[in-house]
Amino acid sequence: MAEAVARRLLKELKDYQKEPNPDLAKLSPISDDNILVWNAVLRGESDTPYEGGHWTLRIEIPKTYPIHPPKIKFLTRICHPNISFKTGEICLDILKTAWSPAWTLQSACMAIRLLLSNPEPTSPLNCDAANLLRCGDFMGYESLVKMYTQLYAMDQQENEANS
Amino acid sequence: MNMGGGVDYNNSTTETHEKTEASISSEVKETVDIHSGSEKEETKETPIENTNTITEPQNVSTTAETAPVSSPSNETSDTTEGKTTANAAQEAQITSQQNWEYEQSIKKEVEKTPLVCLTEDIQKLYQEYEQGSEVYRQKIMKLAERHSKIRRCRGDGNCFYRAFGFAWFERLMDSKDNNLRQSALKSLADTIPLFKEAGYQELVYQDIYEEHIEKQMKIVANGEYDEDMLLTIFQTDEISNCIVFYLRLITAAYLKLHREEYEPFLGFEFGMDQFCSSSVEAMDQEADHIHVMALTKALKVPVEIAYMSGSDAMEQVNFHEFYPDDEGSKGTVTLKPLVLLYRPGHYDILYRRE
Repeated sequence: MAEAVARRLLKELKDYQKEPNPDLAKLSPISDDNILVWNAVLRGESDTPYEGGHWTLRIEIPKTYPIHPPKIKFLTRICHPNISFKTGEICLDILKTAWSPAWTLQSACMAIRLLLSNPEPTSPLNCDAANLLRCGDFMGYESLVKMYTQLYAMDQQENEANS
Repeated sequence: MNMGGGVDYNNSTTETHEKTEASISSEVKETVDIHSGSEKEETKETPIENTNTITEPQNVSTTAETAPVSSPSNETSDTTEGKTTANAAQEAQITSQQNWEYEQSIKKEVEKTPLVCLTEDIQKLYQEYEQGSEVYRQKIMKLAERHSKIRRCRGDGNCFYRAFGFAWFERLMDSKDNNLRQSALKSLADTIPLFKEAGYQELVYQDIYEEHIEKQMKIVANGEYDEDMLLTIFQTDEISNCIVFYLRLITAAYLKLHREEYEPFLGFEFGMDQFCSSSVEAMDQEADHIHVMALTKALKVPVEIAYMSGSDAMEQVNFHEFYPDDEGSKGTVTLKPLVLLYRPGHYDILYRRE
């Protein structure tokens, strides 16, 4: 079974390396000895308050992957209604009940990137951010997000190599 | 269903009950189409086994009203205006916790049933309803005239695919007809170009096809399996789930390639890609009419489904026939239709009397 996971993951790695994804600065296992833990680095979308930021994700892959979803969380602090400010936990259906083996690590990361610009404030993990959106204070929301992007996600690029 | 969200922070709205997760549509790689909030609550299938279906909760809802227990102290002790909103929020929180526990307990209960069981006499099914609905008993009596056995499948949301897969493999195993077996192998091989055309990445299906699907079907085709061995295969999580997923993928690919035909069946809020991603490809999501139609056509496997619900007329069980259209094709060798039993939210396998 472990072999099958490794084979699939190697294919995914090759796919990513063959066609680098400009939105995903990095996607690879953290070490050669363990293919079941990966890091990814998301680039914030332009024209959003996340522009210019780089966020590192930690991806833990179960032995039953891809039948079961990978566990993904933010290592870099991020301000978003559906992401825990403290733990980096992500509330996104495709990482839980709506997961399907047709997803890949790369497409899952892209779904997370998409979530950044499409928050769902009715199921918040970060109530402060969600509250601003809920009461329609988009200016306040954007500046809060921008501030945290500046604060935590701007020096990531240099860190990528070491992470 | 274990969701991270759902922290209540706003006492005055009822929306705090919702446990919607942010939901992203399919194929993020190409399209950028987000769908949020309307992701329906996952309705885990009820464990029908050994109990009266009527009294089982049909699904696990997150609304406070249908929660198994709502916090008693809140309910009874206060009616004063000021307190109600605060308590409502508190209650909602307790209820989502309880719901989660309740779902977990159902899941555990469900997992006691093997993925696919040994066959049982149809009388067993009748006994299940001895304390229950007369309508069901009548229908089972009727069913028993032509059917002798039932084979249950775990009610985990995958039961249609698993029942279909098992019944199909078993039918091929039992029929010693080599033509049938070879044409089944061919239908499976034909799914590869189908996936390509539907836009799936090769790594999504290739390994599963080579490692499990083709391999298993070849063993069946070579007549090397007996019933016990087949059962073992379908009771092994990894292989069994791979087969389920592969059948899901075939269903999704077929639907995508025939979208003009099937899109009208979907609700307005769904496009076909999104529907396939959230309701076909995703494991544990139940199958509906549309899924059955697509899968039977894609694999050219005829299926008959006995629909048994408490609401219809008493004396009969309705059979729906899903026959792949044979027009055009050279009257290919015909497989005897697989027979499934449908009770609201669940599929099992039936066996006709010879």
